[in-house]
Amino acid sequence: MGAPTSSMTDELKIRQLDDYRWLIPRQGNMRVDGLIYADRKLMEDIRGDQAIQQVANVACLPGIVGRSIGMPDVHWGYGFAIGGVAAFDPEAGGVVSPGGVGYDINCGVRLLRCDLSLTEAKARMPDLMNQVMRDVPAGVGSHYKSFRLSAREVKQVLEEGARWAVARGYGSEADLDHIESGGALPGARPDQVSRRAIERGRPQVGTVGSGNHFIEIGYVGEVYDEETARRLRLEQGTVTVFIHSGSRGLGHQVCTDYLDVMLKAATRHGIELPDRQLACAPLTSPEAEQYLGAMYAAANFAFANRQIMAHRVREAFAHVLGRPWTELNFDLVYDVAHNNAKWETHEVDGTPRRLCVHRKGATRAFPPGHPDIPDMYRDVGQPVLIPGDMGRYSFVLVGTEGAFEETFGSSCHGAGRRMSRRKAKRSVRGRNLRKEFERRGIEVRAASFATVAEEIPEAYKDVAEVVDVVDRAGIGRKVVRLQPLGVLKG
Amino acid sequence: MDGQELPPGVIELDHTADVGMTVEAASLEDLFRRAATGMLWLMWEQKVTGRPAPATRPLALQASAVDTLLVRWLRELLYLHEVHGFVYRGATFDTLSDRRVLADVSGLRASDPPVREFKGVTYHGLEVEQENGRWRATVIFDV
Repeated sequence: MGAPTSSMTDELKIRQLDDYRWLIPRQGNMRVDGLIYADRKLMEDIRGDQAIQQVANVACLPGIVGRSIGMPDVHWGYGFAIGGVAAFDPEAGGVVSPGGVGYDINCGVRLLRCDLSLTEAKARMPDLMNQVMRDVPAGVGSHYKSFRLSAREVKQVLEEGARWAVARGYGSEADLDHIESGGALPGARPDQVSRRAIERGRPQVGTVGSGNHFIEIGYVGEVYDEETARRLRLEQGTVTVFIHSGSRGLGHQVCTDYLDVMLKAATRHGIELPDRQLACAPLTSPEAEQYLGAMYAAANFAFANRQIMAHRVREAFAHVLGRPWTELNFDLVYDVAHNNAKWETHEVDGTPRRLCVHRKGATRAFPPGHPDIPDMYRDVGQPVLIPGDMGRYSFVLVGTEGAFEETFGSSCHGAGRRMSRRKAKRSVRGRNLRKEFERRGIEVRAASFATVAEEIPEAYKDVAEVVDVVDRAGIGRKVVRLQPLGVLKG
Repeated sequence: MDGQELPPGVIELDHTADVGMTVEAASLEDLFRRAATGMLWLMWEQKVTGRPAPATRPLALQASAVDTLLVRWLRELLYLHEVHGFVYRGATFDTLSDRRVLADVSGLRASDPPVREFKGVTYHGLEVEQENGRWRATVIFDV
């Protein structure tokens, strides 16, 4: 264990507690301590931007309990850092903040697995990637030309989430058991979602979008825990599909709309904001009730979005391989959200309390035995899906008791950026990215290679280092590592 | 930007995950125009080209302060682009004060889609100030 050290970053005092924990002691207007999970190397990256200050800013919000937390993939966001977790108690004046959820409400990942042999997958990878690219719109403003929902249908999606998609033939009932919250958050209020948001969502359900969103075909390259891997049906060599997307323009508009509502509410309730993007309202206020209803509705849109894409990917495989997807046992392993705020019960100072847990760029990671974990996984813990950058690897973990005790049952969500988009693009000048990925054995398809340039592996931290910190700090447990074979970027 | 000069008065900011800009202009009208052009430039990574949209669009926006007004102005232009395919080309201001904008916006139907989309115009690090007769703004977009 490294010796605890103290230092000042941008005038904030930080103290190293052990090899993987850094305390930001309560100072200034902070109501609670901040805690960042990182080893020394990751901490150097984290110190490079404003993430630490943002973790401290969140600690200033009313009604925050426990600690303001930064995961090992934490980096500079707006308002909350990306990779931030914070829980608020309504009985202590706690708040909800759209900036603590983000613009891409319920941005998340889902992982599918199938019985296709690795040899056949590798041989058919170009065809599979071409078909996925034809069948699932990706890229800036991606939308369907012939699949545009009516406003009434969008409202049904907002209410029913993934179930809406399954009821229309996109997937199976069994899928719903493998999605966080069953693929639909209760309490969604489509009537609190603006006409603009619905308008933006109409052509976009079932689309990838752009930025860091992707569809990735891969396989299990290494198993760390054979028994748990077997339970997740992720044995060595199993072919997998990762889908990363969120609530698209609909969610962005909900966040935009409610930031303004919350700015006014914060003024009215006398809440002092260290950053306006932390605009918030007391959880007991009408504004909070409206936002939570609208945010849950947008989250349901995201669940339906990923459900439709997953089904289209299954159909794409079936088309290329000439076999129905059911014959391939093309099943959903799990689907988790990265950006949301949910009501959960956690123990604080020895007492169970109903809290609103904000996770912005963080994953729920409930331990074995938790009632919110579906039956088939309850004894192993909730699957935690951690995509890496597009060239190296991704990981599947399970939640732990440690996470439940320390981080409100949360873990990291990905590698975390370490390089700005501008720097990333500058660093690829003169390089043939397509060839570089081919040399790594990865088929890349992209609506725009400019996005690929921004998303090069070196723009991200090494997700293996991030996940190792999570594993060693006990807030998640590694199960398998996935290797990419083909990536579709927006 | 790679191989392309940003419009006059616009500088791109380095941000780990998102994209930001500072904008300078001699007048508030020009600040709003340059901010609009700068935002589009950051999305397309070049000057947007296309055929002119057939009609101008009237915009009427209010806010409690000039920085919030700038955010609303940019959000409105993002919305017009995403939903109506109307890309800002220029603006004639009937009124532009710290709290109110009334403008006629001319637009383009862009020949190509942008390189990246902005999910939102954030309040994080937002600044609009006037110093020595020049206006200066800082805006960060969520990518």
